[in-house]
Amino acid sequence: MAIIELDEISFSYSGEPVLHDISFAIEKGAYAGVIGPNGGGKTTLLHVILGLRSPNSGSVKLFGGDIAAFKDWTKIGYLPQRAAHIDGRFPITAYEVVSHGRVAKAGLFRRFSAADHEAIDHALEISDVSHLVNRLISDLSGGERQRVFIARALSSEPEVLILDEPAAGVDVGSQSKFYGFLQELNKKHGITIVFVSHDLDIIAHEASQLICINRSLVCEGPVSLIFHEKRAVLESIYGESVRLMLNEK
Amino acid sequence: MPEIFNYDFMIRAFMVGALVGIIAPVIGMFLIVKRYSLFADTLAHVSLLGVAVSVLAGTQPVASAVALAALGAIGIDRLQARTKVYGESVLALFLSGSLAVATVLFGLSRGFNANLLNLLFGSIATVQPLDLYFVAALGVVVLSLAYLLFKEFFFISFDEEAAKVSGLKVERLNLVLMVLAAITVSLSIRIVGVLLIGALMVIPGLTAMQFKKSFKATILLAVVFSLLSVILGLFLSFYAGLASGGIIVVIALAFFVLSLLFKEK
Ligand SMILES: Nc1ncnc2c1ncn2[C@@H]1O[C@H](COP(=O)(O)OP(=O)(O)O)[C@@H](O)[C@H]1O
Ligand SMILES: [Mg+2]
Repeated sequence: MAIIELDEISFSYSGEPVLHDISFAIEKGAYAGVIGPNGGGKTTLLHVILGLRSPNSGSVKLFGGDIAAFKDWTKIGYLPQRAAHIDGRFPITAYEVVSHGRVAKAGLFRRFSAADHEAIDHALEISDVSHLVNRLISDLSGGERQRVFIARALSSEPEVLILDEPAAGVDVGSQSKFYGFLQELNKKHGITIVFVSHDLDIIAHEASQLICINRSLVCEGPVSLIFHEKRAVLESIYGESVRLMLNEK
Repeated sequence: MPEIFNYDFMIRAFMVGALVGIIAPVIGMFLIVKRYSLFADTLAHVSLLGVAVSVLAGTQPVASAVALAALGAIGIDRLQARTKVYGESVLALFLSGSLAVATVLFGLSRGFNANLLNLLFGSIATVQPLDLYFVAALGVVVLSLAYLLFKEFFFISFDEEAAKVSGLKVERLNLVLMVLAAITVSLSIRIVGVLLIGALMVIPGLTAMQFKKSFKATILLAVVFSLLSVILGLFLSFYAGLASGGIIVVIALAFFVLSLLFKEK
C-alpha cells in the first residue's frame, strides 16, 4: 500500500512557482530519500504532504485516502528542518519536548495517561536519550538535541517518519550513529522513512528509493536503478560528486 | 489582627491581588516564550478604552474592560492573519488607537481625571465588591482553561509547525490563549493599572527563567515571585500610601535583579 501518494502537484508562493507537476508514491516500509539542491522545493514539498500548505493543483493521498479527509495525523512523525536550531531561551527539558509528541493523541482537556507516559519512555529509550530527560534542551549538543526531537516524533508511535535535513548542525561522529539508528527503525520496527537531504552521498548510501526534486521531479525510483539510468541527470545537478560516489560504490 | 485587615477594600484588594498574582504570570509566560510580550500592553490599553466606554454608557467597568479587550484580541488575531501588516505594527495600531479613543471619551465625561490616574497606575481603594465577583468568576475560568489546555498551549508555544502537523487546531488554540490574555489583563487593571500590567505578566516569568528549570517549574516559580510582589506591594501601598501598581512592579523588578545575581554565582 502507498502511504504517501502525490498526483500532479503544483505549488507556488504568491505567483512564484516552486513545485511543478510532481507525482510519485512512497510504499509502506520504504526508506525514501528526497534530494535536491538548496531552494529546490524539498521543504515546500513536505509541507504539502503534511497539509501545512495546499497545492495549487494536484492531489495528495495519505494512507490511501484524500488528505482533506485525513484524520490520523499521529501516524505521521515529523522532524522540522530547523528543529536543532530552536530558541535557546525557551525553558524546556528534553522530557517536556518528547511529551509533546503525545499531546494530540492524549486529546483536548485530558492529562497524559499511563499509556502516554509509557510511550514517551519507550521513545526516549530507543532514541537513547533517557539519561537526558531532566536536562534543558538548550544545554544539549546538536546530536543529542536531534535525538530528542526524533524521540518526540516517535512518541506518537507513528507509522511513517518524515525528516527534513536532520543532519544539519550535527557532528560527523553522531551522524553515522544516527543513520544506523534510522536503518534500525526502518528494518526492525517497520517504520516507513522519508528522509530529505541536499546531500546525495548520504541518500545514496542509506535510502532504497530516490526522489530527486528540483522544482519539478527530476527522477524517481530504486536507488540502484537511478544511479545507472539517470546518471547524466544527476551529474547535471550534482556534478563531480556523482562520479566520485559511483566509483566508491 | 493587623489594622490593614479591618478595611473591607483592603481585603478585596488582597483577594483580587492574589488571583491576579497567580493568573498574570501563568498567561504571561506563554506570551514571553511566544515573543509576544507587547501583546499584554496593547490589550491593557484596549481595556482602558473599555473602562472609558463604561463611564459614558454607565456599564460595569471591569466587565466592559474584559469585553473590549477580548474583542481587541480577536481583532488583532484576525488582522494579523488576513492582512499583510507586520505583526508588531498591528499591536502598535491597537495600542495607540484605543488610547486615543479612550482619551477622547474621558474628555467628554468631565471630572474623571483623578480616576484616570488610578486606572493608569492601579489603586487598592478602587476595588468595588462587584469587581471582586467579576474577577473571582473570570479568574477561575481563566485558570481552569489554562490548566486544562496547558499541554496544548505549551506545544503550540514551543513548535507551532510540529503542533499543526500533529493535528492540533493551532489557530483556534492561539485565539483562545489570546482571549485568556485579554481577560487576565482586564482583571488586573484595578490593582496594577493599565501601564504596568504588562510588567506583572512578564517580569516574574523573566525572573523565574534565570533559574533554568523545566517549563512547568519555571511557571510555578513565576507564580511565587508574582504573588510575593503583589502581597508585599499591597502592604507597602497601604502603609506608605503608594500607587499599588508602581510598588508591585518595583518589587517584581527587585526580584529580577536578585535573580541575575543568583545566576552570576
Ligand atoms: N514562505 C515562503 N514564501 C515565499 N517563498 C518561499 C517560502 N519558503 C520557501 N520559499 C522559496 O521557495 C523555494 C523552495 O524553498 P524550499 O522548499 O525551502 O527549498 P529546499 O527545502 O529544497 O531548500 C526557494 O526559492 C525559497 O526561496
Ligand atoms: Mg529545506
